[in-house]
Amino acid sequence: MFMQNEFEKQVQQKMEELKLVPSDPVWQKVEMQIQKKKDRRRMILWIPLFLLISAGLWLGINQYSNTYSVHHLENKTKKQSAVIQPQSTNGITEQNDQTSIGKNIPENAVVSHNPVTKNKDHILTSAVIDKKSFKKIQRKQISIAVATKIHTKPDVVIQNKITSEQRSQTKANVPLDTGFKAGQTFDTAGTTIKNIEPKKISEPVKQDSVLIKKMNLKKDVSKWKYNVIAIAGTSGLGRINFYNGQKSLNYSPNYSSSGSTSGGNPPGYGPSEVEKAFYLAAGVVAKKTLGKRISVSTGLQYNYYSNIIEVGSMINQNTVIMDYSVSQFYTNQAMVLEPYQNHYHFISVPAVFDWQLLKRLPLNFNAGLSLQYLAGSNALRFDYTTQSYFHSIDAFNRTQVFSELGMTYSVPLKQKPLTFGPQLQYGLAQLEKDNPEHHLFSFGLKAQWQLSRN
Amino acid sequence: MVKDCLKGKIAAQKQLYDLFSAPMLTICYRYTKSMADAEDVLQEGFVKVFFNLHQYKFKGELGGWIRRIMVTTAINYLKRNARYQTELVFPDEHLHVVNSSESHPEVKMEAKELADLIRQLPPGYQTIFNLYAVEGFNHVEIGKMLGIQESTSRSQYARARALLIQWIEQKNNVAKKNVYAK
Repeated sequence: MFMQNEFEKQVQQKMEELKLVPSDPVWQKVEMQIQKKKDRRRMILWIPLFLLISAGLWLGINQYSNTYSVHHLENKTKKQSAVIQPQSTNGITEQNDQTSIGKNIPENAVVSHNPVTKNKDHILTSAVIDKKSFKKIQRKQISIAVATKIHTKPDVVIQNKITSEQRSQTKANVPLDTGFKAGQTFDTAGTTIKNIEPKKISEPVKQDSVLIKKMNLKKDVSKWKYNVIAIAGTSGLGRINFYNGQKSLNYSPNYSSSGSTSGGNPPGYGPSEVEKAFYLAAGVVAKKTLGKRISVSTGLQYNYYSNIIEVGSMINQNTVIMDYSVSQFYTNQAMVLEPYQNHYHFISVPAVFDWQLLKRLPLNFNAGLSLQYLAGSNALRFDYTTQSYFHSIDAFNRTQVFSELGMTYSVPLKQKPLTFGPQLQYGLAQLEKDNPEHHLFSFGLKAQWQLSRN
Repeated sequence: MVKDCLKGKIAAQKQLYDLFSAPMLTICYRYTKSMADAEDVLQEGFVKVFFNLHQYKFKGELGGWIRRIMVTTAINYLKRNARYQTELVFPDEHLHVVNSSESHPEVKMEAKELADLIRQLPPGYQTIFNLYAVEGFNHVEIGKMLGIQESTSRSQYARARALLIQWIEQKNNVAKKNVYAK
């Protein structure tokens, strides 16, 4: 079809001989436009990044203050009760309207609390919202130190239902095919076009790109792309109350009556407040494009969570605590408490959906679940009966399901996309057996780098 | 050089521009009516090149890839600019198709002279002539590129070709007369 006529050949040959040189201002204009576009791109890059970091910081700080306030308040209350040793009336119980979340105390159990604790919900809210009022309340607590007894019905259980909002998303990272056909050559001087054979260009640049993108997309659909992933941040222990947005108290539901004194014995020593500590994750994930803006990724990951508690003196003694045989435990009745770092080593298989929020901006929302197995831990758990911390791997639910939420932003790095952004993880399963209050969570900055080029 | 360009090194970008600006300008020149327009297209095309260079996969020659961008940039430029737009109307009526095997004159003139003749064609004819005779697209592809029917492209090309042949013959005759006169 092509070049069936000598005339076209002659014209083409003549056109190849044509030599024109552009004037100097052309390059200057090109350079200027490149610079302008670069600046614009930088702006576009920094705005979402700034928003991500701000949102991440806000979330992190907010969550930290919640955790700290609640645990601190509770611990202070308990410590005061313990130190002051308030007089409790034997055998007398008071019906309290308060519902302690996850609390399950037998009827004959007596626990000392001051009036502040009695109005716990109010304090929790004010402690979170207003630190000044929180401090005032604390001062009052110390001066008044009035003990009251709280009795809650053992059958009161509030369960949180977590609504899964896993949505798939993707960064439709579709490369544009060059569409260049073999046979098109330039001489080395770059001045003349030679041997121009028919090329298949079906659309102008934009339309062409779309077509090629579509073609490449089809190609990419069946292709897994491997990524290395690293996350660093902080992890903590607690339960997010999805009803009021606060973390629940650190009471054990396994409060056994056998150990507590129903006849006016000293009140129990509460568990330590849990401080957040380092969180780290690393692994390899394979990512598959499902649609234009949706992709799914899965892989193998190592997750390290940690938190810090305060424990009393260690006692080496073979004993049975909460049906777990232990050779040593930490009594929490000591006046001097030492910090103890709980380490949790998990192997996980995540399944995360990525959804590109905007067509032209590589800003992704990701949500998913990860199945994690507790490979090792030195973590301690508290027993209210013996008022001690002990370690037994069997006391933990070793298989965990975590929910993951995050935002990522992609930038090309050596033609391989580097994505980064904040990530939030929350353990859907309870960490300790028979204790719905302890769920692992983490908040960190995720970075993911694709190993192959797009 | 491409890798350095991707890193944003201006020196490499200038090097790439120096290497390809001349051949690309000839393409832009053929599609436009003035050198200023040709340089505008060239500028626009190179900006596109530098910002889409990451999509170049080293599969074919870079020159071909840039050339394709220039052609599409030129077409978009013509479509966008009012002075070309009015003349870029391609009516869909079936025009008389000139037999391509018709006799044609020998093209004896200089390249620049021939390019200027092509540029004197009405923009619609000029574009189709360039796409078919010089770039080597077939009429189906041209139809898709310009949003016209294949038959329209074929007819327009035939007219453009006939017109150009006529002009070339006239030029050849003038040249002959000049030779005889001397």
